[in-house]
Amino acid sequence: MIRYSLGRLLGLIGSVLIISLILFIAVRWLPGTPWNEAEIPLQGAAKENMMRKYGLDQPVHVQYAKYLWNLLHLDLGNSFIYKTDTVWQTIARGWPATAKIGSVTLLIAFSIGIPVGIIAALRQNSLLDYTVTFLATTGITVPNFAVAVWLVMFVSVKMDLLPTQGWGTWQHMVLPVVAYSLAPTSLIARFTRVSMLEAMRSDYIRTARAKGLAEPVVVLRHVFKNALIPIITLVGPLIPNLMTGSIFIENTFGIPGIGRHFVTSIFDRDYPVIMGVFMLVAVLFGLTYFISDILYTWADPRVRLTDRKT
Amino acid sequence: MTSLKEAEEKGQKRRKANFMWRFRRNKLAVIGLGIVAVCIFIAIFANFLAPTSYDVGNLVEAREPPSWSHIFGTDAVGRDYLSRMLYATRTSIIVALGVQVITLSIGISLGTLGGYLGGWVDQIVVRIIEIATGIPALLIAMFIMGLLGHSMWNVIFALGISGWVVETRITRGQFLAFKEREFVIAAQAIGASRFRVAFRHIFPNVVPILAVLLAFQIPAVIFNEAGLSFLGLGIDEPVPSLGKMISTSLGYVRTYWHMGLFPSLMIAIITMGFTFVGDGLRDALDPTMNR
Repeated sequence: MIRYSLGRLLGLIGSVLIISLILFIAVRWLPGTPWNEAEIPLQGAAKENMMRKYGLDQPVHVQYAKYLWNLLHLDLGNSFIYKTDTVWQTIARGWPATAKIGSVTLLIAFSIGIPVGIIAALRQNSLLDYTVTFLATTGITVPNFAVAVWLVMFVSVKMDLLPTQGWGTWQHMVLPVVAYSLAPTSLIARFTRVSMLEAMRSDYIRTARAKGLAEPVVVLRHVFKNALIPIITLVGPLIPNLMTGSIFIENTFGIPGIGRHFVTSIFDRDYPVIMGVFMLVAVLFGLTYFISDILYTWADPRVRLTDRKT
Repeated sequence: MTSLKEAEEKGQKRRKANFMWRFRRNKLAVIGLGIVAVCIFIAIFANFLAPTSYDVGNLVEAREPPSWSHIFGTDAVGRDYLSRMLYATRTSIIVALGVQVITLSIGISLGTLGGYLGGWVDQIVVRIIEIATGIPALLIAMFIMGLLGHSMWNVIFALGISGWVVETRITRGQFLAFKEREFVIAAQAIGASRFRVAFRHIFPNVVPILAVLLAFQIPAVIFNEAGLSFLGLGIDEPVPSLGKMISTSLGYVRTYWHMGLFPSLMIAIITMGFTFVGDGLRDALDPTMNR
């Protein structure tokens, strides 16, 4: 187990390094420079000075080596655009809003999705089951920015109940969270339903019933625990996705989160911020895949983690 | 010999009929198929269906609500909204299909290489998948759009080059599973070449799963295209895109309701149609799943 974990972590570091290399080269490939040369053209010497100041005059491999060295000290550099900010500060400023929306959404997705999925599975082929399946399919498919527009139109504008945009009070959180949580809730509900149904058909459930266990015990301890295994694989990647924020939701509701940095940093050619936010996502994703594999062994002791398996 | 061949044909026919019956019994799937057919019809014949061209505006008629002359109203520069939506549907469908060509080509080649050849080739494929999973596809696509500039072909390229992970993983998994089956070993035993075994014997068995995947990937791509355009990273004016129409409408949400409602409904209907077809295909191909 420990050997496996160490191997996986090393592999993760390797992947992140390769991603960082590809990103670093691609970022320098982006046409244009971090300065707004369309409006304020830079002349020869001035431009050279600027390039030197930000270390862009050196060859790319030297720049990359320096970047890695700084990364080793957890230094992501300074933003080119917000000149007084380190990249960490830029991330730290957007993070609270994104994390808040993301964690509330995650909480709702779990606390509604799982029970609804269980109930639908227990009453398979009833009207309730069909309704849940239909609503969940709809919820997964309809883009969240379309839902956001409908919510703004009806709840904010027509009924005048909640603010259309902004950030600060709890009222500002309601619509983004509702629009954002619809898809993951539906996904979890549908997945829970299917894996519950699959688990209910298995022999060990018949055995559990045959030996006279109470129905709630059968459902929760035997069916649900086995149904959890596929749910973990689904939810693993969902978590970093939600925590790094839906760019669309933040854009629609004007939330000062981290999502907009993915867009603006590319527009601004803010090299260190692009690298910072993308690397952060890569690390978050790698870690969640790793953790969900570990959780696997807990939910299903038959699964043995070996170095050979991917 | 003939009787054997006949029996095989009969079996194939029966499987086909079974499949059709199961698909048709699923009402949502049939509705979905209808929606998909209408979308493809619109995509092909948009220039005949649309009352005006997508780029002709009349500023005097700007931001009009729906009326008899403009059934869906007009946009901020007085262009007929219905026409723009029909052309935007065409954009969505072209992008969705174009992206599938790229993702399936990459996914099938990489997946076949890894799953069938195994060994160090597979190790490399698995590594590539792992690295590509490290960053969400949409973010990679956003990055590429920043690199290339905005046009429909660049959107297709960006979404295609970032979105092949699922295709690869599924093809690889299928090849791994089928590689050990008796009919494959039999084909190898009579001396069929590796290429022939891979594409004549194994690949036809992978096609149904890829078809189901396709039906689910198309709405995902339509979502992503609209998303890129929503963020201003997608298709440039004057070519219409549903995502762009939705994002523009946000500025007018207090006064001009029609600008947000119609395109958002349209995209919801399109994505739902394809998903229902996907659900129906999957259930009809694999009735034991009962999802």
